[in-house]
Formats: sequence, structure tokens, C-alpha cells
Amino acid sequence: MKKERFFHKYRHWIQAAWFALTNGYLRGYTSGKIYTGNTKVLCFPGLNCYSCPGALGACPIGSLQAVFGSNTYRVSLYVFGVISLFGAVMGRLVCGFLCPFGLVQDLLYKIPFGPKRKNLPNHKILSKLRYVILILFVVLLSSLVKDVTGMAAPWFCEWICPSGALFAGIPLVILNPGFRTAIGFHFWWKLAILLILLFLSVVYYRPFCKYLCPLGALYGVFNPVSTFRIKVDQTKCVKCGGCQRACGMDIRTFETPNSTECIRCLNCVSACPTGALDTTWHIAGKDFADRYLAKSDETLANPEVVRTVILGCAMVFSSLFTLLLHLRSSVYANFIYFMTNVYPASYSPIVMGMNFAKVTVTVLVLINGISLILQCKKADAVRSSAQSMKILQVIYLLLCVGMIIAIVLNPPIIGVWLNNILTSPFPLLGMPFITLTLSRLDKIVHGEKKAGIGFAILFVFTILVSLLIPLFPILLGYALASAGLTGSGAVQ
Amino acid sequence: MTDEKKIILINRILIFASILLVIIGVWRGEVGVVLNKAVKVCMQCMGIG
Ligand code: SF4
Ligand code: SF4
Ligand code: SF4
Repeated sequence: MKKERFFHKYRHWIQAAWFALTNGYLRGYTSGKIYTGNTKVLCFPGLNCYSCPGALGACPIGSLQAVFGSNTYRVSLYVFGVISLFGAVMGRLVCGFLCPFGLVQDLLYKIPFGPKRKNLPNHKILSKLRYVILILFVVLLSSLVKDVTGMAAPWFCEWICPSGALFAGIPLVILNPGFRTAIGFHFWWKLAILLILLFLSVVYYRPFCKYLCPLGALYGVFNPVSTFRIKVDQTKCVKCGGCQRACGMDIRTFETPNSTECIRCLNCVSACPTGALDTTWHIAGKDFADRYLAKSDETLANPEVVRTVILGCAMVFSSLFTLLLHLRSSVYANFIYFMTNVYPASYSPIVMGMNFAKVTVTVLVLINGISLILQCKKADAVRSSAQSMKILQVIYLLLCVGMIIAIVLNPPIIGVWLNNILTSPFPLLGMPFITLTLSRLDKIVHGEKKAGIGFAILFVFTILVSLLIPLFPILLGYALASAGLTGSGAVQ
Repeated sequence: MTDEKKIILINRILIFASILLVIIGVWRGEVGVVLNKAVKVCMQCMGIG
């Protein structure tokens, strides 16, 4: 008997956790208002209505129609790009694991009531309906039927989407009295569709996903070519059909493992009695572990190996630290400026470029640190890592040049940077440390004492300074305040 | 080229093209439309529009 896979065993928990994470704006559920923060520029993978009171992101199908229907753009490259990126990476793994409406249907089907069937009558014909809905409602009607202002309504949302009715309509109407007065024909129409689908879901497996969902139809196209695929080991398969019996979507997995209808629930992989089915991600993970990870009976007695691991940990630690300190100031802020196209007055492209370079360097260090730890036993791991670290020195040099250019163009920037050093010194002080020591990786690992001691001193010094310096302004503030000088503006 | 290699090639092209589309879309300012739609209660989604 095969062991049930973790992801299959905890699939519903993962779906629920994802729903909680992406719909975590709790105040929305008490106030009956929706979240209006910047994260809503991002499309989440599943059919997650952006008018759900807790939603932190946007629905891809809703966004697609919003851009189609706007009076400024004809097509949405952004939303298409996001959908095809999700599709190319995961395919319909989104449906199996990351879609709230999929979860609702999964849970309803678990209710032990009435006969359980997989498909509606005329399954073959009905399953083409989702393409019709995609082309007619999402694309054509939502982009062509424009009103006097040149805007089109989101037809799929307006006439069909049960996810919107369930996650947005019902909670908002209950929570917000203002909306109750506006209820009309549309609301009852969508409620009826929702109820029919919910009742059907108790008897039939995922009827909405099978027959109506345009998002599932889009992701399905990617199933045969996404990085996540199911593979059949023909030498093991005995064509018993166990996979099809376990499959709610009624797919002959052993013949068409990457069917456009497969929602990647992994039931079949767990059900196959001979272990003939596996996923590309699991296979890649196994390959990786075989190549790099130590087996439990191998020891780490070799001092070079131990030093490599310590060095790797230092790199991971320092880069994570830098990233954390940088996260708000540059990564998040720049990302939001970039995405929303709204730039503050103090914005400078050079500074943004440099922040980007700093973050790139840090991520490189992080990746190299992790790979050092994982490859600690390979003789040339350190050498190749040291070589790839040489690129850091080049980036750092460019950073210095960038700093000089920025200062020449805009001298007051020095003040901003001084302030940065006071408030988050690690990026500025940590960078030279990282570049200096990492170019000497070889020597440190091969036990050259001087290099090792130098590394240790620099590391401890940088950490101490970074932790202590943020306290300076606070101490200075106290000193000024106790001297009767409220240093507002001077100390922040 | 084996089928497997072909699939991987198509996959990488798709990923690359998608990232390119996202970048162009952001550059054209489409995200503004998305954000604008997403931060207002959508009457059509709720079913009262
Ligand atoms: S088919 Fe649609 S509703 Fe079903 S899980 Fe996929 S995205 Fe969600
Ligand atoms: S359950 Fe396994 S052995 Fe049986 S047909 Fe499916 S893949 Fe082949
Ligand atoms: S083929 Fe396997 S993974 Fe796909 S829907 Fe059927 S049981 Fe789930």
C-alpha cells in the first residue's frame, strides 16, 4: 500500500488556509465594507470575488472584464499575463488547491446525502459550455456592449458568477443595510443560480468547475504544458482503472494524465495501487534531495563541511536580516509606486535602481547561502559559490558609482542616506561586509586562520552595530528632551 | 527533440511571455483600472447592479 501524500491528505486544510490568508481583512466582515488597500492591484489565482468583505486581492476574471470594459484599454495584457503565468506554472493546481469556490463545492460533495454521482447527463456537451461562457460573457459581451460613457459591464459577474453572489452579495447585503434597499432582479437571479449550483454540488462533483467556470477553462488549456503535470509510469501501470474510479472529474488518468478537465486534486495519485502516478514537482523534489541532501547515515565529521555549513548559515542569516530591514523602505514601496504609477515627490530613479541592486545582491547572497548549506559535501561547492559571489563585487562597484551620480545630481540626498544609516544601518554597513568576506570564502573554508578570524570579527561587529545604531536616535531624543530641547524634526 | 523536452521548452516560453505581458501591462497603466475596480464594491458581482 502506498503512503498517502502530504498534499493530498491535507488538501482541504490547504484550501481553507489559502482562503483565510487571502480573505483576511477581518474588519470587512464586521463593518460590511471592503478592503481598499494597495494589494488589490494583484490578481489572486482563484475565483475569489474582490467584493468579498475580506478579500485582499483581485479576481482574475473580474479584472479581465474590468479592463475589457474600461474606456481606456481594449485588452488587458496585465491580467492575461498574470493568468497565463499562474497557468504556466501550476495549471489547474489552482483549482485543486487555491480556489475558494472549489473548496465550497468539495465540502458540499462530502455531505452524506442522496446518491453521489460524478457527471450530469450529457456531460460531454455540457463540459464545452465553459468555453462558450469564457468567449461570450467574459470576452465578447464585456468588451463590445459599451454604454454611452464607453464602458462595458462585467457580464459574467453580472449574470453568472456564483462566487460573487456567495462571497460578496450575501455577506454585504447582510452586513450593510445600505445595500439591502438596492436588491432587485439581478440579486435574485444570481441567488437562484448559486442555490441551484450548491444543491447540485451535494450530488454531483464540482458542477460549476466542470461545466461553467471560465477561469478553470483558461487554466485547463495550460494543464498539458505547465510545470506541474502528472506522469504515468507505463512500466508500473496495470490499467486497472483505479485512478478513474477515484477521480471526481471522471478522467482516465492513465491515458490522459494532463487532461484539460483535471483539477489536480491528486486523488488518483494516492489511489493508484502500483504507484504508477507521480507529479513532476514531486519527481523534481526527489531528484533534488538525492543529489544534494545528506542521507541520515552520513556524518558531517569533515571540518571543511562544518565550516561550509556555518558560512552558509551566516550568509542566509545576514541576507534575511538585510531583506527584512529593506522590505518596507525599498522593496514594498518601490513595488507599489511601480504598480500604481504614483510616485512621491522625493522619488528618484537612480535611488530606486540602487535599491533594486541592493535587494538583488542580498537575494543572491541568500540563494548562495542556501546552496552552500545544501551542497556542503560537494568538493567544489565553495569554489563555485565564491566565483558566483564575484558578481557581487561588480554590483557593489556599480552601486558606489550610482551613489556618486545620485549625490552629484541631487546633493540633499546625502541627508536622506545619513538618516537611513541611523535608522537601518545594516543594508549600508552590511553590504561591504558581505562583499568583502564572501570573496574570501575559499580561504575561510579551507581553514586559513586569519581569514576565519577576520570573518568572525567583521560579522559580529556588523551585527552589533546594526542592532545598536537604531538605538542612537532614540537615546539622542531622550538626551535632547531631558535637556529641554525638543528636537522635533532633527530626530525621527 | 523528445516530447518531454518540447513541453519544457513551450513551458519556459510561456512563462517568459507571461512575465513580459505583465510588465507591458503594468507599464501601460492597466493596474490602475484593476485597482480602481477592486477597491470599490462591485454592484454586478453582488448582484444589485
Ligand atoms: S474551475 Fe473555477 S471555480 Fe472551479 S476551482 Fe477552478 S477557478 Fe475555481
Ligand atoms: S490506478 Fe495506477 S495502475 Fe491502475 S490504471 Fe491508474 S495509473 Fe494504472
Ligand atoms: S485526474 Fe487525478 S488529479 Fe486530476 S481531477 Fe482526476 S483525480 Fe484529481
